[in-house]
Amino acid sequence: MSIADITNQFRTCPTTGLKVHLPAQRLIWINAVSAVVFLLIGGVMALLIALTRWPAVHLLPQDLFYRFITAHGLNMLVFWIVFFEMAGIIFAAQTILGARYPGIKFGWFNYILMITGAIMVEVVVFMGKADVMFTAYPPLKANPAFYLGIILFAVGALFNCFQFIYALIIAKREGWHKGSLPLFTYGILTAVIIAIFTLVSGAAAFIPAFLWSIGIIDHIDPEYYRIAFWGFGHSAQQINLAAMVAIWYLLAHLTTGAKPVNERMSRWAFVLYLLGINLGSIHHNLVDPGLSATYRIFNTSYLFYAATIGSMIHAFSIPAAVETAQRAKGYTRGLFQWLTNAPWGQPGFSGMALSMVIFGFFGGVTGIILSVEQLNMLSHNNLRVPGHFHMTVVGGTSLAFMAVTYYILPLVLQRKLIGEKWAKYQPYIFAIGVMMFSTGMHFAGVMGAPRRHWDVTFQNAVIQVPFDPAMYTMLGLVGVGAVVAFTGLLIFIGIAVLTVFFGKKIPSQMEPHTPPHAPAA
Amino acid sequence: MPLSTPKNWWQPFNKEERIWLYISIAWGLIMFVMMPLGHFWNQNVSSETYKTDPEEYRQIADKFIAHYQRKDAKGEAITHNGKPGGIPLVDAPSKENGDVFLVAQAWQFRPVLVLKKNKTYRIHMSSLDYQHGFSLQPQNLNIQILPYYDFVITMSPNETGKFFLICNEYCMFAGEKFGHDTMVGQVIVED
Repeated sequence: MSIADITNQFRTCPTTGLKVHLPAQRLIWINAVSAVVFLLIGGVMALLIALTRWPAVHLLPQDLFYRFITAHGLNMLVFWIVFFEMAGIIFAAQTILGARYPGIKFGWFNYILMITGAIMVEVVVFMGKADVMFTAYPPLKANPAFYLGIILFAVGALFNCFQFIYALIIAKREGWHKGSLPLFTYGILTAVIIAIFTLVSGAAAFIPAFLWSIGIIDHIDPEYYRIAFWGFGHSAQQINLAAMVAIWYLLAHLTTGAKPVNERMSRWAFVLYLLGINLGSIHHNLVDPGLSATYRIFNTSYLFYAATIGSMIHAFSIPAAVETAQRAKGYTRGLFQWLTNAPWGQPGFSGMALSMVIFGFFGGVTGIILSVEQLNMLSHNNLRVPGHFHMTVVGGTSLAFMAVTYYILPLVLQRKLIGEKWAKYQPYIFAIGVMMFSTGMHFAGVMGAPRRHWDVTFQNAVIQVPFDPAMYTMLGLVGVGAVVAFTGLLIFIGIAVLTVFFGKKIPSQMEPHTPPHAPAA
Repeated sequence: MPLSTPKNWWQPFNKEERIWLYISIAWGLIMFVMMPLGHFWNQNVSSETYKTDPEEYRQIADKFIAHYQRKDAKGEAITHNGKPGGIPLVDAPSKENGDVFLVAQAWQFRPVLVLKKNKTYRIHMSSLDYQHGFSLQPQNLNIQILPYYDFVITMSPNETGKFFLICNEYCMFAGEKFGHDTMVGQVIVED
């Protein structure tokens, strides 16, 4: 394809003036739509699981409960989030830079790898051949197709990461973009770098597990697997973290016109994530046999809490940016007029603000507490852990992704939002639900409720365990909160699906776009 | 703006930013120092571990249980519920007299340990099959148990009473009556 063909593949967004490369737009579309489909599957599983953990309801039978937790973990933590991020990285490298996206066919090939892997995993899990949980700790063995599906998915995602970096190089070399990367793309680049070492760690866990499941190797060291797995499982959440923070900056700008007050500080914070955050993975192994005291101490400290300092910086600079922008608009009365007059009715703003509070405050604080070695003993594998990561991944990442979707739909996918009124309330409903069930999980865990457990009343056990009755109240709160959060989820999916397929098409001008900084021939 | 290419972004930090940074860094340093301190104050998890394999560990533990199981006046072995087929009840030796071996196996912890208050015990734990979780209730003290690893925890109970072990690492289900969620053990502390 010649450069002339490529220049005719651009349209100009009528609202923002961003140059969208149409073949890349189709890639964004397919990845984003797939993400939402998996979100729906994972959400239904979530509701059923939560209603089972509510002792008064205790909905599912034992086998389906464990099967659905496995499906829930994979659909939410892997398929929904990673597909959405794949859409996000193409958006960051193409649309934000106004560059062409090279290797469209390769992008489709990666998508096919990922969707094939995802479907394999779904089929195997729902057939009941892989009731091993998201973590799949050996010696629990799943059908080989389970491991193979995850490997295919991960390889597709890894290829997409390399393609993203290649796209940045092309943008610079062909002169589509000149100078430093915009902060949003810089944040996404951080996420992609974290993704690369995460996926390599995943390979170190899942490739041996696959070989073991087909009988080529006969033993996997359980502690080796746990360390390699969490290098993938926890670091994957740090990809979300970097992507989510980048989205916070984007949403703060789209809704209030906020500009980062000090780009140097914000960029340093992203660098701190790169340096410190992968050490967080070892938090999962703090009470495992086989690790030395020094190794535990060094890793628990997150390398002097470098990553935490990064998050503290963002927690300062994003609100500061919003405040500055709001004050410039004339909201200068008192300390908080800028905040009370913020656009709380826009889902982009409320979603960002709630996501920042739930992730940064509740999720972050509980996470740091769990990561302290002495306290980890009091929380390892009980419901306190899911309580923490539902605040970060659901109330933080998923809510931020939902909020940005309300802007991606008209700007990138050219559809007028259906149900804008519903969108206004959706972040609040979802956030309230998430806070309810996460708080319930957290305190049930403090009182000893184990995670991944079908029956804390121990009706079939040979010894009865007398728990604090308040624990059952907390588990009830988990059930009620899950119903509220699921309502919020359904509203989001309803809006997204209706808009994508039936929303009014926003006309957009096809405009030839050539590299503005092309090197002289 | 986060969407456009910044020109001169290498700006000095202003006063508020510097204060915030110093607070964050100081906080990070305090938290870091707590990590090694916790170790020297003996609050951290043990790191004493040995390699084993399920067959070897089963033999050692069975020998331990046979030797220390509580017997009644007629010399019959006693179980946790007084019925044959129950979990063996073992008077555990304290640190000076020997080591204690706890077995996690789907879906049982054995034996039921009887400990004496304020004595110190070296408790070995390992799994014979899947990964299991040692979750002592109502203390809510949680430790991971893996096959092939013999993890030694040294502890001195300072309260009497009945304590419960629940498995908090998913270890399969199998039908209606058994499975991960029925795996419960017991520790009894006497004066």
